[in-house]
Amino acid sequence: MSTALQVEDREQRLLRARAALGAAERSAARWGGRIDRTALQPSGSPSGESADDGLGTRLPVPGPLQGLFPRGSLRAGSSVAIEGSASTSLLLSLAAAAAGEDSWCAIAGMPDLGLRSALDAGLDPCRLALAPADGEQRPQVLSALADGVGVLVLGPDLDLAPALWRSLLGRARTADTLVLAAAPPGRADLTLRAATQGWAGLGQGSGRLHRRRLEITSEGRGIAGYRTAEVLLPQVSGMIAEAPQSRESHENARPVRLLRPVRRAG
Amino acid sequence: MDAEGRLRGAGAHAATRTVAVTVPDWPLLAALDRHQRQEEKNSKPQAKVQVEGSCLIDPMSAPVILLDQHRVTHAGAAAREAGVLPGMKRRAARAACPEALVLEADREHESALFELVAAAVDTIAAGVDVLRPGVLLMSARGPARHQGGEERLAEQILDAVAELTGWDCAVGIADGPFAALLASPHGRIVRPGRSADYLAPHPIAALRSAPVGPGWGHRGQPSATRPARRLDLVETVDLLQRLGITTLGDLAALPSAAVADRFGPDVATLHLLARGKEPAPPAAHHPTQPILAETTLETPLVRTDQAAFIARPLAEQLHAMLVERGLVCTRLRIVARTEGGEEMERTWRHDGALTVADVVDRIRWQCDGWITRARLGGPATGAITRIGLHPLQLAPAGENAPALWGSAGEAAQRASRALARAQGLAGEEAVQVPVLTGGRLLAEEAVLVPWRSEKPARREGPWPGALPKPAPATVFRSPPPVRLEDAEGRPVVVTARGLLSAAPAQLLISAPGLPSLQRAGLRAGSGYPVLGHGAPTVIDERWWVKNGHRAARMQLVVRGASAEETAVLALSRTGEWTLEGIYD
Repeated sequence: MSTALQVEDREQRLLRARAALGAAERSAARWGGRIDRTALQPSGSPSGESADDGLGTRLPVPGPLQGLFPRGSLRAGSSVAIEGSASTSLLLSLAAAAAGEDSWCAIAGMPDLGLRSALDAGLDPCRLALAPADGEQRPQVLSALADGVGVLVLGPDLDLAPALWRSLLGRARTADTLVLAAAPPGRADLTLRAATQGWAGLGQGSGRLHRRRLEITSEGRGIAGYRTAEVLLPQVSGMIAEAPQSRESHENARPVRLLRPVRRAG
Repeated sequence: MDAEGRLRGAGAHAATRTVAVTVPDWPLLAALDRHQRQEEKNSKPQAKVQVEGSCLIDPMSAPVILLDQHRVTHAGAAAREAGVLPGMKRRAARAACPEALVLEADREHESALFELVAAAVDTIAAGVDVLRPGVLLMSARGPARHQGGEERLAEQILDAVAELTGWDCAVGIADGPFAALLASPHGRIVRPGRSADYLAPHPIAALRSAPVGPGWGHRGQPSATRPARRLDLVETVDLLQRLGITTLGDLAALPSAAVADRFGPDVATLHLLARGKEPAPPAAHHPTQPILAETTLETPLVRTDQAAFIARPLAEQLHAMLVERGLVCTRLRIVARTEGGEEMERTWRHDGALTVADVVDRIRWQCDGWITRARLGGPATGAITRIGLHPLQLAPAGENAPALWGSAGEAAQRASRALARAQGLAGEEAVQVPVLTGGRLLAEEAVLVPWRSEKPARREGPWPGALPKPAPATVFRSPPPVRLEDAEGRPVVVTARGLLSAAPAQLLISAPGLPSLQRAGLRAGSGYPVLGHGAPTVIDERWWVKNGHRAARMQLVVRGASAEETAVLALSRTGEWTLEGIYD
């Protein structure tokens, strides 16, 4: 009994010490400091949402998109292809969610990326690297990135050869790197296809862009047929959000309520 | 300034023997020079003889006034005689001397022009240190010994400046920068050890030319740890005068601890200067023995991989030296000497500790650049016969030592290995990180710098006219030109009052398409109906100068080729529309 209490006490003291040290280090760290965030996690609980369940490490996906993915998360080392409109913002929000608390994200081949939207989407500038990947050494650079970072984003302008794509996927699978690619030259584990439903907020000479309604369809490994979700991306804050029930469906629902069977009395 | 002088604390050390070279009324001279050049340019079509006759303005005879922020900062001798005093308003100055030539101050031009003087002095002595335009300092000991005496050195400098630039300068030599500065207008050479005596009779107002505070070259730069505080010299002088301290000798007679207690560190620095001493710069570390690693190559270098081969032992040697002394190098100069005796160098900045691999990479990139330049038919460099590493900026390792938790996290270590490898493969620019710098235009708001290089400082806002969230996911580096037309096909423009001339009905992409435009369903040469548009936001940048920008930004929703709604951000400048970004 007493030993159990002692153990608990010791664990709590360890936790407290870690929290204090973590706070001290965070306050002392300079911009881009090297904080080991995993060390700051309480020792008992698994770190973040990523957990190992025997099928490999799972990486979180943005909440509104959970329905699109088998088991509501992504396997580390898998690949996702993104097609259709809104590919850039979709890539950014998936990367931000998967990078989580401590993995690094590298974005290759997106020279015209809007940096502020990347940061608005939730990417940590201290753990973000951009690689133009446009020289002779492109295959080697991409391979090095696939080996090292947690999330590798491949832009649509990269124009990869199919062989390089396959070899990148192989490397990523062994290094547990998530590969997100816009319009890749070959197959990916999952394919997301987005279609713009409409923008809201802009009038005729007034207002400003607030939110865009997107319909996203996913298919691929682990999904029978396809799955569909409606999200708002970007939302006013630049992040992704669940799409509220549209007005048409409200209007559809109302007559149903009116047609409640009423038994005539008498 | 020798290293030993800096190493000793602020309390007990002899000041360095310093030469101060000043050009009196430098801002005035620089402004006159600029004015004359402009005159020449404007009157080029006219007869040249006439120009030459008219453009020679002598500040001694013709009245000249220099204004900065609507106050007189300098007045020529003739203007001073007419009653113009520094500090006057423009109107008062013009009233006192209506025929005067009024010029505006331009710091940029002053410093650029002063480089000529610095270069001229540099032909006599090395280690010239420009304090601010018009004033430069250097250590006197070595050059004086080389020239055979301090008088001789002063003469040489005067001759060199007059010969190479045509301006008259004044040279003063004394112990410590302050005494040298005060001695220079009179061309005095104060004997060693007598600086305090020389300074003592000067009125307290002489502190105004003390080399402290903002605007004094690198010495005035704020340290990284302490926020910049402005030391108001005028106010300090006023305060000291009210306290009955009328000469520098009175100030020097006060006990230094009391001064530091009562007035704080800035006035304590002034006190130190008034005593004929000099403050030691706080941050940088200057080792007594210079740290450098050099190697002479038996077979000259002609290929890049050879460079990498020699670079590693050299970098390891440097690293061992630094580790031994508990230092990190934040700025490194790599110098190479070629067969022809030419020296090529480049300085690399780094935000943390340069590791061996980093140094090797930098040597390789640099040699690579030189060798390719020679191959491309640039100025032939010849084979490299000698490579040297000179750490320019050393700091105690404290801040960059391993973190409290041992090392960085596993993910960060893996990533930094991968990024370093990518940089090693394809050069420093191959991996970049974003830095938010602030600005109105999206392309200016964040910049990319190479990973692990020094980051630019953030420019504090506010930025009126900046785009509110959400920001477009694609921001064009080279914005494609577009046309906006109203229902009748006339171009839509933003009027001077920031209103649209008509409601836009069609967006025409004129340039041959960018890939990201095509992906969004906007092809070149065709028009797309505008479904909605916002009110234009006017972005006035630096409207008070001639080359300022005036632009207006407007959000548009158009129906693209795939019948999907596409939102774009259009920017209008001088009636021309471009696309700043796409919400894709």
